[in-house]
Amino acid sequence: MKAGDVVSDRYVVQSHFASGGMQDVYLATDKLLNTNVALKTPQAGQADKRFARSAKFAARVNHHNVAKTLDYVEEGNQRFLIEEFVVGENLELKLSRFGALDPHLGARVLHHLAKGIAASHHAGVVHRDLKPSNVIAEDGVNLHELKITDFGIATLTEEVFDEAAKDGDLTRSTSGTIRGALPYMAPEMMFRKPGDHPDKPSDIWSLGAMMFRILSGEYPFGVYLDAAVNVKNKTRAAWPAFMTSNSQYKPLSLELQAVVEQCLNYDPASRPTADQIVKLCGELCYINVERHVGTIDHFIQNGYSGFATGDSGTVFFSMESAYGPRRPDAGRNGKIVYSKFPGTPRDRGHPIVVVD
Amino acid sequence: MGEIIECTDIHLERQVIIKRLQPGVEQRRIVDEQKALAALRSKHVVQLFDIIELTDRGPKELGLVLEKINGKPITPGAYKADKASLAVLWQIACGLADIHARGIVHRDVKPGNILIDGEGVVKIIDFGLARSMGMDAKTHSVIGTPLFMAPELWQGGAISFDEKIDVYAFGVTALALVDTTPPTELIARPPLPVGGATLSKSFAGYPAPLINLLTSCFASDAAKRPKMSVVADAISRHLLKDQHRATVVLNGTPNFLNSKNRAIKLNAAGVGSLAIEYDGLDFRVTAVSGNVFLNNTSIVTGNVLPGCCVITFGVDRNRRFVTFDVSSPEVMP
Ligand SMILES: Nc1ncnc2c1ncn2[C@@H]1O[C@H](COP(=O)(O)OP(=O)(O)OP(=O)(O)O)[C@@H](O)[C@H]1O
Ligand SMILES: [Mg+2]
Repeated sequence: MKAGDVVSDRYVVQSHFASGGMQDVYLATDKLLNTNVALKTPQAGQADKRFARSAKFAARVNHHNVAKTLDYVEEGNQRFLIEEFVVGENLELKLSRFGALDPHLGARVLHHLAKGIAASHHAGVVHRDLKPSNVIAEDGVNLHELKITDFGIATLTEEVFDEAAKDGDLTRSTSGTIRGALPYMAPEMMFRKPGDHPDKPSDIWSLGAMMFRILSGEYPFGVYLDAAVNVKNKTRAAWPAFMTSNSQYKPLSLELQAVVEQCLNYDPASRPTADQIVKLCGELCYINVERHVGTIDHFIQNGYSGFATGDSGTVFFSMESAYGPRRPDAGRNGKIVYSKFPGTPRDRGHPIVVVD
Repeated sequence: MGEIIECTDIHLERQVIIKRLQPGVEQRRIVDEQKALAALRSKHVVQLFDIIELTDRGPKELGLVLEKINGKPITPGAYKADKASLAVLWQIACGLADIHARGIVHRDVKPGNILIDGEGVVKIIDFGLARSMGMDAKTHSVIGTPLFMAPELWQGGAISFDEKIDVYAFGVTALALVDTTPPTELIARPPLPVGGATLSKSFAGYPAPLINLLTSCFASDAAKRPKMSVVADAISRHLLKDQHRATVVLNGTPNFLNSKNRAIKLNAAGVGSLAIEYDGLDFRVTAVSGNVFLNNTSIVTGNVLPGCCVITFGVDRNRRFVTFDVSSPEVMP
């Protein structure tokens, strides 16, 4: 497909947006409603006949934390899924910038993801491929709007999984999609036999594995084959010390770690349901104030505190607010994200997290 | 406001609603507004999928293909003036604030146009579908339920109105949720100013500041009615009552202030002391002595702590620092 191509006399392709393991994603304009949409079409050789079924699954979910399925078109021998276009970038890209999210932002992400997953589970739809690249947030450092995409791929993935399972070992699959999913894949999915149908709890494991990565910056079980070996041997990475070394962040970090540990239970039946996680999140206290980006100007008081300037002015901060694996400094670790609270003569920045 | 046809989208095998638009001068405005709403993508606005031509009745008519909400309209009188109904009002206010920010007026806010879907999310339907109000008296009856019509809509001749008519209707909706017998002032045509005392009786279970705010939605002078975003913010603040947590780190150990542990006294020997109390909404200074600063600002008794702050005791070399961070659950639909 190229810019200017028109699908169904309605969707005008603007540009190729991205390609995953199974589908190509285009940014297109809906001529009728004057909105941008994501136009997805299976790559050549993909399980084409299942695409329609996937679309129907996705269309059942109606929630603001899930990208909306708008239309499905078959034209000639091509199939197209039209989805709400979520402006922003996926969580994989966010993570490359943040490294790890602080617990306040992390709690927010967990809360919204749990809401979206709960809604889809209510509709009887299991995602099966939850991973950071399938979650999109708006541009910038605020993660106010989070949307899960590719619920539609659920059945497609199932087919790929079924085929791989037939070959005897899912973890040796060469499919890009399976490789991308492995770090977050539940054990009952990884070591499934043909005909096994891992259900909702496998999404909960994936949510836990994803949150482990988001909070710690590390994959809980590594990538590719390592992930399979480590899941099998039950060797999970330890929580990093920075999550709990600062007393200000420790209480919330511990609460989040407890939720993640429950999600990563090897017994699917013992994992919490999405509804239970939503309930837990509803009781979590986190700082939910808009975030800003700034650059550290200089330090005072022997490095105990300093000033940083961003497009919203200059803030004062104390090093006790610093969180994360990287310690803020006036050099390479000089770019920080923070919320602002009133102060004299400068507002106070808190929490302070180094980003790229 | 147009007929409704329940249909199945055979491609995606899901239920949709087709809303037949009445022909006339208003059609163009309605279509433009529906497109603007689609671009807005508020979680409280029903998704528009398509605009189609219907020919089943002969002449071409326009139909809006809309997402089918699995839910019921809110029922007047089914609520008590408590936190549960406040949570519903908060969502309605958020939805109206979203569309007002885009310059769109709903025109027909009433319980019948407010649904709660299976996930508990409020969806406001029939945006802008009510006819323009600058028509003769006879067409008034098609606008919707007269009870929800702001006083300015009852003037004769060409009427100018803005989003404040939605604020009035929101106020009447709030009242209808908890009380199905409206005061006689509201039934009068046009409605008469209604006294705060009358409304306070119906709203009695709500916190006083919210009663005042809801009452102001009924103001005869449209300019005196609050913005929907102001109402939404005020309600969300009260929805968090008693759920905040302040984390106070003293000598490396976190201490919590919350609804179970409302007061703390901090003492820095020789330089100053500070007492803080949580009233369910704010953390407030109840006593202060010596040199104490919050985010470098000097304080007096009664001050509210500015969210997260560093408390400094003393000046110059003797200074001691305590961090005080306020967090809370997130109010979500
Ligand atoms: N509705 C959407 N709006 C905006 N961006 C989207 C939307 N859906 C998908 N994307 C983005 O398009 C890119 C490709 O998506 P795709 O699902 O094809 O691949 P993937 O998730 O990276 O990998 P995989 O094929 O293994 O699932 C991703 O970066 C994704 O975030
Ligand atoms: Mg994807």
